[in-house]
Parts: sequence; structure tokens; C-alpha cells
Amino acid sequence: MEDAISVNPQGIIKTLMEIVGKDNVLCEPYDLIPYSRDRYALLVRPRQGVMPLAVVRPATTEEVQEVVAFANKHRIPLTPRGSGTNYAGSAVPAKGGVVVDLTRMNKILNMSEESMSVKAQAGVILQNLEEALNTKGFTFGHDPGSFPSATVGGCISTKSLGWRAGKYGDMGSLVLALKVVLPTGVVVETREVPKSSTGFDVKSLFIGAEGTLGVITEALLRIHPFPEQRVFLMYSFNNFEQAYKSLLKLLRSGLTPTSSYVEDYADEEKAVMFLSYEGVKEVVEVQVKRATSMLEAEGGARLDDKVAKEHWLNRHDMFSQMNKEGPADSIETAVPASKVLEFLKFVRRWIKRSGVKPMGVGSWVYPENLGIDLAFDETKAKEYAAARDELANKALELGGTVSYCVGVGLKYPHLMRKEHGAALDVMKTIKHALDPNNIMNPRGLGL
Amino acid sequence: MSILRNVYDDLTLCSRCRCGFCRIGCATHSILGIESLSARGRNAVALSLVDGLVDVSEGLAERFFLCTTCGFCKERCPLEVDSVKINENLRAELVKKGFTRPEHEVFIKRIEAVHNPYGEPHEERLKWLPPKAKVAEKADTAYFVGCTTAYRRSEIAEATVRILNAADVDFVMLHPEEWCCGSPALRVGRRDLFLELARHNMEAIRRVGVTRVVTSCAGCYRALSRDYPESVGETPFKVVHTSELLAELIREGRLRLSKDVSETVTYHDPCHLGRHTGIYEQPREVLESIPAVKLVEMAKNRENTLCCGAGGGVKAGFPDFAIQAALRRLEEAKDVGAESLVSTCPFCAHNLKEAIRKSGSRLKFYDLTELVAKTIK
Repeated sequence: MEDAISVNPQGIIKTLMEIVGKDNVLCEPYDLIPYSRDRYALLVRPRQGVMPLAVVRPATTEEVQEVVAFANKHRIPLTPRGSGTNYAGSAVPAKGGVVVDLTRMNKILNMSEESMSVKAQAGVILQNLEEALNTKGFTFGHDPGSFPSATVGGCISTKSLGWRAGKYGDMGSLVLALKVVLPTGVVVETREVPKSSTGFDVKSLFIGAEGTLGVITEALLRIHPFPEQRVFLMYSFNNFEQAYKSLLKLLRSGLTPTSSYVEDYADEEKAVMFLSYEGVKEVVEVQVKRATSMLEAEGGARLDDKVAKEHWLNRHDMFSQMNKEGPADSIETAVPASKVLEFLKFVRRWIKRSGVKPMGVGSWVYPENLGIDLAFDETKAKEYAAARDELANKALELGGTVSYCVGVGLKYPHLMRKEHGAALDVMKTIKHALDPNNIMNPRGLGL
Repeated sequence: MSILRNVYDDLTLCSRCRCGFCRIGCATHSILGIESLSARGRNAVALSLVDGLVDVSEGLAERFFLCTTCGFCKERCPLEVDSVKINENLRAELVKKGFTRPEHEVFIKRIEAVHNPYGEPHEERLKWLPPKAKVAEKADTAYFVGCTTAYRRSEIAEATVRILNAADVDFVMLHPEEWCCGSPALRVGRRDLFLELARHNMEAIRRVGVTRVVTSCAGCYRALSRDYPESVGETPFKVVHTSELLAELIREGRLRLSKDVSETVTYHDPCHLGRHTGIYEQPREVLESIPAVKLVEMAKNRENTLCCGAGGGVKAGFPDFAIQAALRRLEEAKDVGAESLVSTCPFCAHNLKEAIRKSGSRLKFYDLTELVAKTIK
């Protein structure tokens, strides 16, 4: 289906207004412009994104159901959207389609101390969720760079990764259950337990699906006790190799940090390692004691704790700040840990010939991750996109992935076959079965 | 959109980044939720105006006027993009093209006619002044009263004068030469009128020859201390907000607070005093000096304060929304068990007191000067 809208635009807008109310349908150009793109770096001027026909802002699952059923009947493309902070373009609307803005669904429905869980609507912003949990002595633990604006539904749909994933896992692993409106308008609710052995794990289909299989409206999420103690550490090493091997040794010793980032400063012939530990006070003290003595034995020089703390406090802002140097992009590749050093050599050579301005090369949170944050010349966006593919292809050749978080969006649909092989056909089959009219984020995932 | 050239670099940065961190504490977006009512969204529209991709219309203008210019966006922006300045520049351009708010036109005409936005007789600007108050003929300090204080919240003016007299601070007043500070005009895009008012007041202050101007209004404070120097040149006097002066007088032992005020209070940071000019601690220092007062903090305080909803021409242009925002702030005060809400801006007071009255809340409201005046002998 290629944007085959079978009712006229005025008819679509009128019906949407009947479903959610006049004030909750936007169709003026000045209201649509901000919804025409997300944070995908290649949508810099003059490529301003894609203007939708309208934005619809439902407040309940029932309203979402009605919107989706109407869109399915008339084959209107829908693009679910949280805060539009995805770096890959997965929230960029289909031309002439309708954006389903879920940010009115911003209620925290229920927090259970006994079950250590919270039920939240899809449009709840992570920072609001975390602050609400903190007042009750809990933490959510998902802390991506876009934490001050990203929504629960957006993070699930892109399977995002955060700074504290060493201890709490990625967004997907924190999801206990989901409520989803399927492309036909049917509502699926999975059971409120973390695991069942009764068939397919249906909820996992929607985690990382980038809105291609339906609209997530509610999620039951695992929560954790607010940590009694948090310690931040920063070490300097002679080179990345030395720092990275020290990190692997920490992991092999069972001293997995809450957060880690090993950054390569090849030009300065050094590397820097950031670590954090959090949890029960006495446990953290022992972890820190053993980790510090191990890192020092490996040749690390401990930097002032203030530097580590500043790094932590700036963690959400650092990517945004890179835009001072040009449009900033993040290439979030991962390869098996045994291939990381080989991949790094390739990355260093690639930086020299690609013309990008590197802003951070390193391994973040999981040791397999080796990504690069950079700024590029906006007048050479096309050349940059080709260079980016070269790096992504190399990660695939080494057995890795083109995106350990962030997603596919407009960035990598052409590499989905290479990454997934026959598994892409499995995805296509599922997509076709659930969304026969291809209304849900129709360009998504290269399906 | 020539005026946007001044802010073009900021627009470009925001257009590249698009993080949306400005939204979570935005007075308007966090309530109404529409992207074009956030700094990120408005900046995208502004850039589209520069690029000629969208036409100016009444609806578009409303998106830019429905902003309290509270400054949370600038405070939280990782790139320090000044979205308040962008919006004020854009409003000026919209006004030039004839897209004004009728409610703003009303108060602009009043300022032009009688030097205050309330349309009150200029000769009654000091009607509140108690006969026993001591006002000097010549002094180093001038008290700049401000329109809202003079005509709508005169208890603040009375308390301020009482405190100044009690602490033996000699002061003069500018009347009949004190005109509106110009802040309301500047905020709604009438830069021309603002400049006229600023030049007049600067000259009036110069003529009385003071070295210090004290004001009890956060809006006047921002205008005099920041907008005047930026627009009409360096001021040959220091501008001091009453909260700063009170803290200094208490520290120096010149003002003794002796009566108990047994109340649990919380402090609302006015945007013009807090985020715009960085005064957060002095009002709290004063509150903590009052015997028996218990100060509790709302969840959102200091840099993260939720705007009361009145600023930037919103109280006049969108009164229902202004009350909606104020009610949210009252909820925050209630959540921390406050009996009284204290602030340092007569315009915040105007809006918050109206919200208290309309909602039937049991919360009391005081300006900081009122509370201090209660505790001096």
C-alpha cells in the first residue's frame, strides 16, 4: 500500500475530531511542522521532515482503538509518537498520514510496592515517572540520554538503552506487561507477570517494533528500591586497549558496574573510564573497594571524584551539546566483545577518512557496544550517510548489529536484510499478519 | 522576518538538536501538550517563517503569545538557546505585521494614556501611601513602586515603606515621574513603547540623583536591572529587589524580626526574580530569619519552579489558562503541607490570589514584605 487514502482529507479530520474532540486534532501547518520530524540527524535544513495530514491526540485506549479502526478501514497511515526524540527517524510521519501523539496519555495509573511495579500510560515522561517513584522510595532505573523528554511508549518501541542498564537492564527487560491496540483495533493485554511458559512471548513483539505492529497505550514496568548509595568513579588509562581489558576483567570478576563508559582519546594517547555503582550501602562499598584496587592494579589512575560526578550530572545533555559543532549523530554499533578492539582500529581509520568531527568514541554500558558520537558537515549530509553505512556494514561483518539502541527508522531499513537474513522474513510475515493493510508506521523497520 | 536574524544562531542550534528538554517544566506545554506550544516547537515554526515555509496567521500568532516567557526552556536547554528572546523578537515582528492580541492592545493604550496598564489615574499612584510614612526629600535610595503594587497590591507598598522606615533607610520616590517600567510592553512585542518608558524612567531616576533603586516587584526588577542596560545603556544606579535588601538589613542587624509567625510557609520563585535574574536564596534567607516560621519547599523550586501562569502577557491574553497554571502551583504548595504561600512579585500575587479565591483553597498568600512587616515592632 502506498499511502492509499480512500477518504478525503476533510473527511478524515472530521472523523478524528468526532473521536477525540476538536481541540485534540491538529491540522494547521504551524502545528504540524514540529511533528514533521524527530531527532534524526539527516533531517537538517532544507530536509525538514515529512508533513502529516493531521496529528490526533487521544486520551484513552478506547480513543486509540477508534482512531486505529477508522484508519485501518480507510487505509490511512498512522505514526505513533511520544516526545519525538528518536535519533533514527522512526517517529517521522508518512506523507499525508496521521501522527498519533500519545502525550495526553500521561497518567501514572498504579504503583505497587508489593509487586515492585508501576503501571503507566504510554505518554508518561521518564523524568516524571522517576521523580514520582523517588518520592515513594523507588527508582525505575531506565536512564537514556533523552530521559528529560522521552516517553515510556517511545522507549519501549525503540527498545532503548540507558546509563544504568548495567544494573537494571534495557527498557525491554523492565517491561512486565503491555496493553496494545493492534492495527485492526483489537486490544491485546498481556499477563501481569514477568514470565510465562504458555506460548509465544507476545509482549516482546512490540518491544522495539517502532510502532509497526500497533499502538502501545499502557505498560506495567518493574521498579527497584531507590539506591542507598551511589558512587561515581573516573579513571585515566594509557590507551583504550588497556582500559577496555580492565573493564572486561571487572565483569569477569562479578563487579558489574551500574554504569560504564570507556572512551577512546587516541589522538591524546589515552583513554578514560567512567563507572558508577549503586545499591545497598555495604554492598556498594565492597564493590567500589574491590573495583578500585583492581583498576589501579591494571594501570588506571583515579581522577578527581568531582570530574566523575560532573560527567554523571551532564549525562543527559552531552549529546545535545555536540550540536554546537554541526548536526550531531550517533552511530550505535555493537560487535562481540572479542571483536571490539579490531572494530575500534577500523573506526579510528574511518574517522580519518570520513571527514566527520568525532565527539566521543567508546564502549557504553554493555561491553559489546562500540559507538561513535560525531558532528558532520550539513552541506555534505549525503556523503556522511554513505560513510555511516560503511561503519555499520563493518559491524555486521564482525557479527554485530548496526544499532544497539536508537533503532532503524529512516536510518537503517536498507541494512535490515544484511543484519537479519531470513529472520527479516519472519518479521515481515508477522507484520503482514497483524497489519494486512500496512497502516502502522508503514515505512518502519524496512518491512 | 528580519528581526529573527538576531536569534538565527540559536534557532539553528535548536533545529539541529530538537531534544525537547524544554518541555517538561514549560508552563504552557506541560499543561496543554501541543508541540507548537513548546520552545522546541515554536523555534521550528520560527525557522519555517524565516525560510518562508509557513505564513503568518492569527492561529500562528496565538502559539507565540500563549507563552508566559517563564524561562524554563532557557534554563534547561543543554545548548543555552534563549527561546524567551526568540519569542519576544518574534512577537515584535508579529505586532509590526498587525497580529496583536486585543487584550494586549487594551493595556498598551492605557500605558500610553496614563502610564500604567490598569488605566488608573496617574495622580493616584501614591494613594496608598500612609500619612505617617517618612519619605525623604533627598536620599541615596529611591523606591520604585511599580504599577501592580501601586494600584492592585498596595499592601506590598505599605509593608515595604514600613520596613524601610523601621530600618532607618532613607528613600525618595519618583512620583509624578515614575511611569510603568515598560516590562508589559516589552513582553508583548511593543519594544517601541518599552524604549520610551525606559528612557523616561532612567531620566527621572538620574534627576533625583540616587545611587540605588529598590523595587518590590520582580517584573520591574528584571526590567530595570536587565532590560534597561541592554536597551538604553548602563544605569548609573544599582537596582535592588526588596528581598535582597531585607536579607542585607537582617544580616547587618538593622532590621530586627521579633514577633513569632507560627506558620508553615512555602516560597514561590517568581520567574522574573529567579530564572531571569538568579535571585533564589535571599528570599529564603529572610523567611528563615522570621521567628517560628517553618519553611518547606515545593517539589519544583528554584531553577525548576513552575510558573504561576501570569507572565508574558498571558494573564491579560489568556486569563483562564493563567488560572489553570496557578491552580497547579497551589496543588504543589498543598502537597508539602504549606499553610501559606509566599512570593516576591505582585503580579504572581495577583494571579495566585485569584486562583486561591476561585478554588476556595484554604491557603493564605503573603508577599515577603507583608510577612516581614508582621514581625517587626
